[in-house]
Amino acid sequence: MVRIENLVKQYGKLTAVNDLNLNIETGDIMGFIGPNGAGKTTTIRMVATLLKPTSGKVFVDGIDVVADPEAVRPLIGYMPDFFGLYDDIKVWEYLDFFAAAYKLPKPKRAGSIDDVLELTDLTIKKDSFVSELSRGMQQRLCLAKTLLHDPKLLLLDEPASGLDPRARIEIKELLKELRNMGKTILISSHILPELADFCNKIAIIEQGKLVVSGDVDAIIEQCRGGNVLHITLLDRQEEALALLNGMDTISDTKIEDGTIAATYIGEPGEHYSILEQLSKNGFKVTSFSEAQVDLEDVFMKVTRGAVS
Amino acid sequence: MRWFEQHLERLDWPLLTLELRRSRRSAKIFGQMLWISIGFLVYGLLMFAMFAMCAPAVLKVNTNDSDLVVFLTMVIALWRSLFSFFVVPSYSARMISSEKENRSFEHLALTSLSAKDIVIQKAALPIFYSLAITVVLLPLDIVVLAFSGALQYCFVGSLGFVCQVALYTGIGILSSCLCNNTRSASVITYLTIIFAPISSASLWARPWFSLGALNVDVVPQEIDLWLIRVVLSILISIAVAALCFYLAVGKIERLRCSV
Ligand SMILES: Nc1ncnc2c1ncn2[C@@H]1O[C@H](COP(=O)(O)OP(=O)(O)O)[C@@H](O)[C@H]1O
Ligand SMILES: [Mg+2]
Repeated sequence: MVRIENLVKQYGKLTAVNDLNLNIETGDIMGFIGPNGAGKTTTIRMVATLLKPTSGKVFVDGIDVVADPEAVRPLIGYMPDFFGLYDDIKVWEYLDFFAAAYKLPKPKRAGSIDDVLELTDLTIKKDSFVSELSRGMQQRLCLAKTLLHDPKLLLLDEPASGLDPRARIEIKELLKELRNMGKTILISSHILPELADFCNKIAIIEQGKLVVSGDVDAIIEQCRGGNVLHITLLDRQEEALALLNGMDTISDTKIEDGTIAATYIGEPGEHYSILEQLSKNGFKVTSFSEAQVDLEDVFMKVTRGAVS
Repeated sequence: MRWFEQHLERLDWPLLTLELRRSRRSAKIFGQMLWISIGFLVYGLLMFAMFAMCAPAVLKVNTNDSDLVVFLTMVIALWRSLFSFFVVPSYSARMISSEKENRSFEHLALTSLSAKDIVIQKAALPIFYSLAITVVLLPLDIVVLAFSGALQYCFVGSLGFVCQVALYTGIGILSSCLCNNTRSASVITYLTIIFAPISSASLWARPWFSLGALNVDVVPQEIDLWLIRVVLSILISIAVAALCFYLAVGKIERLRCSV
């Protein structure tokens, strides 16, 4: 659906996006993650035809966005990080304006407007003024406008930033619904947990460079570099530590909050042997578990690595 | 006006419909026009009182002219000049620059509207209003100019007014494309209008319609000279307005991929 090839964007001397390559398949929900200033907005704007790349190519549905922006615009729905709404009109007037501006046939407009209002839960606000909506509602209205022309690809730039927790959850629910509708979505964020549970792919960007991209599970696997085992003992912690350090399958140990964290580098799935040995040596193990590695750990690990 | 607006909405020009809805609510254009009208009615009355005292000597007012005709001519001419000079440029200068200011331009840029659609639809409102004003004032014009015996010029005068509005709108929308905030766009617009010799030529053609009506005893030769000037300034206004619109379209096309 989206193919980004060697994309570069320079602002004067600053290289905001540096040789970026990325593929998004139809139906993918890709989380585009990076700290502030990493180049996420710049990249998304180039995909959205709003910014010309310094070099490199972007294809949306096989169409070059620089060569034929008019053909790309109807395919995409772009929601900027800052939603410039006209606030002196009513909600339905706002949507009616965009429906007409996207050249939806006149008889179909009312139906489309009702559909997106329904989807974004704004039906009761149809006759309110845009300025009277809460920030979360304005965000949803902006999303409703983005969905009016039924785009195949959604480019959402930090859709949850600046929202209170409740509004965040609402936006998240809405995004899940869009995923179920089969839309391809590129969604950016500087906070990872926000995205973790509904993306199937992620791309992590830092200082304009792609650090890692691919399936969420594969990346987690790739990044953990060995399982961390959490072991809690009734007593004799120091002795156990010495024993663990002596094992070939353990690369690193440390004590965190009275629990031993040992990095297991042996055969996957055979870490029970560690437990066996501990019991054999008379240690009283009260808990033994594999630490859960989540996207956040991956993110911290990957981005810290890129900075140092 | 209401009837006129309803017909405009049928055009299905989204930006025009949007502007109509917004201006109707905030009463921007209408409010301004109302205040200017009231202001100039008062001003016109004062002027009239003044003229009544000294005009016969200075302007050689034909004693056959009724005082009411003189007064009406003044008010119509001044009101139109003010609409075109105060309302139109400030409104036009706001068009694209305010979109940039509140960042709604990026939404607009992604729609299926072409750059030409955007310019035409944005500029349509002041031009349509000036057409409406012309239509409303034309009967009055005809009456007034018929009294003063210069009827043949009333159509030229009306056309001149619409062209002037188009010219100022063109200058306004072009400067609003060039500036990122409305204030600098307004400043540029007014400076251009004041200093551009062309626009001042068309401006300077206006007072004739008020004073010309007073001065019916001018020799025919002189009237022809005025007419030539007016027609020329109309033609120049159209040409410059077209150039401004053309440049604005190009600028919007470029803005679209660099917001
Ligand atoms: N219009 C611009 N002119 C100059 N520099 C810019 C411009 N837009 C963004 N940048 C710079 O490009 C870098 C990437 O910005 P951005 O894409 O907005 O990052 P993100 O969205 O990931 O926070 C930043 O260092 C930013 O300062
Ligand atoms: Mg950003």
